[in-house]
Amino acid sequence: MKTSMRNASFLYLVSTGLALSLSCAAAVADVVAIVSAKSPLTELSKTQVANLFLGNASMLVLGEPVIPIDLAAGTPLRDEFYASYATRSPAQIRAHWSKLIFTGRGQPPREAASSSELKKMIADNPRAIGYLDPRLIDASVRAVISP
Amino acid sequence: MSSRHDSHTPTRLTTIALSLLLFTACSAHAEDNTISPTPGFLFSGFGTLGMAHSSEHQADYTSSPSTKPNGTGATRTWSPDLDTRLGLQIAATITSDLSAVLQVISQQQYDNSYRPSVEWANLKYMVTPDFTVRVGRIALPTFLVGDYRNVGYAVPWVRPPVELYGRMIPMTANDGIDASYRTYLGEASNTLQLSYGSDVIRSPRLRSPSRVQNIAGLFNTFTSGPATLRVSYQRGKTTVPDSNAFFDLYRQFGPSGAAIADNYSYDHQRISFLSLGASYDPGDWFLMSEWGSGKFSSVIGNQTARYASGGYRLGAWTPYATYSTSRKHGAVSDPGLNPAGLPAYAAGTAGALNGVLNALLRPTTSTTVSLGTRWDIQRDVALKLQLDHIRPTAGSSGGLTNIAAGYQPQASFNVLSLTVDFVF
Repeated sequence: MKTSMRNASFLYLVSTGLALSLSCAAAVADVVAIVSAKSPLTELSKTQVANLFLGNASMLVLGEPVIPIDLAAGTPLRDEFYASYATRSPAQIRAHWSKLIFTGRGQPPREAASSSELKKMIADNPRAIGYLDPRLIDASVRAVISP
Repeated sequence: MSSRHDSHTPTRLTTIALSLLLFTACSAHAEDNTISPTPGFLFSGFGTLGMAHSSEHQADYTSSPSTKPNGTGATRTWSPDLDTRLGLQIAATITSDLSAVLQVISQQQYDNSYRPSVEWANLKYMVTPDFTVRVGRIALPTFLVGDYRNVGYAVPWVRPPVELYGRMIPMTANDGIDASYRTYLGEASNTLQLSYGSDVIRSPRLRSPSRVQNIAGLFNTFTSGPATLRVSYQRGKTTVPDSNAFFDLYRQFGPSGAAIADNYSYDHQRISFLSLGASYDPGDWFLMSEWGSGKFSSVIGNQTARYASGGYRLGAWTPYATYSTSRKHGAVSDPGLNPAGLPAYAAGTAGALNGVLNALLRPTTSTTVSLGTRWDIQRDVALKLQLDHIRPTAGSSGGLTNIAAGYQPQASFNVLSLTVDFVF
């Protein structure tokens, strides 16, 4: 009796865990990497985008480095972006940047205060890359990842 | 662990250069309103509050026996000195290609103080986004977690495995120059870093500073998605003036004493270190392993150490386990001078010298099994709890220091550590 209860609660824990990880996977689809409509960049893989945002890679556009623009820490869309593109939690992203900052290897991307500010910064600069809720995309910016 | 740098000439020069450049950055105006990096300063910091307790009360366990004077066990039941530290950084963007960084750290030093020391102070020139050159003080990226080992928040454990990180190689910083070059292979990248310079080391058991000079280093890191492969090699020459007094006593015993001194002296010896590392971190879990081989033609001899560690992320919790072990190769004891046939006063001195020599030859190797967990309690703050089960290798001190008269070697002992890591 005791054993079966223990088994039952174990199964419950496992299934809850599974359900939670599935719901997490489902929640991370609504963010897309964007560039200015004027940008020569066409299509990037999620890994390429993540590498640009994490300072793991640089890329030249019009002879100058591509500049990633982030949303402020704690913004749900930002957390979704890193979960989906880099499979990293906010704490892991912070730990990653701590490595780079405190070894003098780099500073995290500039942050925009809101999605609308981010969209404007991207639209105005052909060298910038950011991310947006796909429903907010208009003629000024376009996705660099197939949705 | 670079708590041991005295301010000496290269640092002073770097400081002057930095102040000048910081002033320039301050007085410069932002060129335009674009999103490019603009001249200015960024302040950031990191720190750890730690407490550690050892089940061995007759000797001290520390995170770095060669640089820390005491730890937990004999000196303190609960010691904050193994892991507690505070680091502050000013990063200055001077132009889009030129930047400077000054990082000061306060942690337990060789003299038991928490006097701040300069951990990083360098100027970085970006030739291209993938080719940079730095001049000044640069922490050596000897290990996977080498140049950010002090940033607890960025490290998976309470502290990096002591067998490899704490007892193998004395130098942790480089006063000199380094160049870093990154190349791409599809989505994978390779970073080659070359460095040249010197390091000053303060030890609680030596009165004057020791140096490692002409340190030439090669560090290569290949990263492909979640996988990282790393190889590093360094070599240098040591200057340990304080050790000469001891070995000179041996030399007074003629050729047989001189042979012992030549064989074991620390001073003007070649030191080299080779390490290989690999890590795999797809996000929800991580595995990492490193191996290192140090050659130091002295009483230290040749040593190898390796560890493997893995962890699994469950929301805010990251439980982990580590297996770490080290071995000394070569002499672990020496009969020393034969006192037979010597006059009584000389035989007494020879016996005392042989005693010290054998204490120095005694290995510090051990095997540690660690279990722990990280808990990300809130943004920028992580709590860690770790239990280490340490088995000194047969005949080894197990890295213990300040061994009391009543010490009885135990087959094993345990260390419990609690830390709060933060970044800002």
